[in-house]
Amino acid sequence: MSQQARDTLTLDRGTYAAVVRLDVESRPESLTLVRSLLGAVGDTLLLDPEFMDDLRTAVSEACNNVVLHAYDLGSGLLSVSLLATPEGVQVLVRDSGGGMRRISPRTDRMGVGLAVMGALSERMELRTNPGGGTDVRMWFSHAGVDSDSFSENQNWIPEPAPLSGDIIVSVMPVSLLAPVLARLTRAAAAQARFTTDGIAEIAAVTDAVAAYAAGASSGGPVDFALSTTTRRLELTAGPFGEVAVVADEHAQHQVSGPGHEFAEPAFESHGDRKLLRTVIVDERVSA
Amino acid sequence: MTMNPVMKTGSGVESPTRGQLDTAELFERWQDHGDQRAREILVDRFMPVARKLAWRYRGAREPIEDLVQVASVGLLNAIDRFDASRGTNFTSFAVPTIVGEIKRYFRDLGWSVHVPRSRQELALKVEDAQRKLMPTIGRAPTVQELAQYLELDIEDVLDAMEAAAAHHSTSLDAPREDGEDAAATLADTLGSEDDRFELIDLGVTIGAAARQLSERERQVLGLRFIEDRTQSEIAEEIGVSQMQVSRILRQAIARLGELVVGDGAPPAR
Repeated sequence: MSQQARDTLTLDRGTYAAVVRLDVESRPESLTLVRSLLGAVGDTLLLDPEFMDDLRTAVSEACNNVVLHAYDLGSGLLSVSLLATPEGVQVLVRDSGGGMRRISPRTDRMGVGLAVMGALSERMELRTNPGGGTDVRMWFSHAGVDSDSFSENQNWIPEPAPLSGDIIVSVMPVSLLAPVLARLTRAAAAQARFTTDGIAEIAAVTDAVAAYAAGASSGGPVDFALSTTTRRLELTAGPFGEVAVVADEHAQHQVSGPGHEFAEPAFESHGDRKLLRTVIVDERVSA
Repeated sequence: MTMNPVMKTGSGVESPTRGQLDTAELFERWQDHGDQRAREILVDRFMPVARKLAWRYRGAREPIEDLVQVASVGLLNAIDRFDASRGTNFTSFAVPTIVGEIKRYFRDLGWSVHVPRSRQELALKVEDAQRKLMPTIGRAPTVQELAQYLELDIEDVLDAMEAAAAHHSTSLDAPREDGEDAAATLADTLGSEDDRFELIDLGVTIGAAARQLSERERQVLGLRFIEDRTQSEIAEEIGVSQMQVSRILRQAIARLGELVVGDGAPPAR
């Protein structure tokens, strides 16, 4: 985690609001990604371990329900959005599957999941969306905070990031990008069978990308996408406006390493906006 | 539809058989008439809830049977304390009770179970495993290989790597030197030594009390905490199941606790 992220977020702890959205496919492995995201947020904001424990369990349960029950055959979208404020954390777990008809407290397995979520969160709401899919909202308040003080306002839920990839993330403020990007990339690379050396070197790349984004950010959300195949990871970040490339030299220096093949981060123009894209291949493992 | 078979009990209350009475009726029979059989049926009926919660809280190497035990104690408490007249659903009442019991169990075990599994120590183990596996495989291991070698899930290994990264970045202001030797030296001089000091410390504190344990218990404790072997390795070495090793460890630790406290010796921490 970059020291910078920690400082920025904790110095104004009285007023901070951090927002993260993660969109992935509803497969069992995706739970590791969700928990990595929660871990990154919890560690960066220095949230209480017991609080994080409850949050992780309840959110895992909600996501597990999506993985197991939302889509009849196969999988679909699993979207987790989170808002952290000094009062606590609000979470939205959304799918676009068959909806609540499958969620019945009478069937044992679902019933237990719902009971866990209800017990560990301050408040929980289930809603079937008119267009299909289910929203699970949960509120977790910090000790000593009256749960009534939670805003009902849903405007905080970020729009999906306009990127394509297996894992799509939107983060705000930009100081939260470095830890979230590092943790999720590490988890994704581990699942893609990178070696620990490969993973360590990816950290240099993600740090460079986060540093670049910090320089290029105008204060809004920052987006990135990850796609993996075995021992190959593609990272796209942006779009960024026309901003002087502050960290570019640094980035190119960092991404060259023995035993690995790095495509130098390249900028792609999309109108007046730019995407930063890099591909990392771990060649240490022979087939 | 067939008639419910009915059994007579000593109290004269008719006992239900499994699955045929609704939950509210079972609670009434148990709480108002002391019908043990009704209580048993409730336990059977809600055991899946307890078991599921136990799985959710399982530790990296915690035998799941232990947690199921703890969860079922929570379930019994919930069954005894549930107030059916308030019209709430039993599961909603039972889950926090069971979760509370599981958390208390973790807190009570405190140092004896959680010290060996703290993130910091896991981080050292992962680094150690990395060094051990490197020459065998001829390259750095993948996270899957580490997980398999350490008998952990990949998520635990990732957590440990995270802890290691945090540890390195806070303990070293200067950028880390390149090269694997530098990394190995760093871990050897800082991490492993620290770790051993703690073990020695613990060893001294409980050394006297340990003499009162059986030879088997001492052997298992030594292999686990001094030689830092996994439960499975110990099981293989002394020819019992991993479950038995776990049981021996727990009993030994519990007895040590009693002995140390009984001697008026200060606790380890």
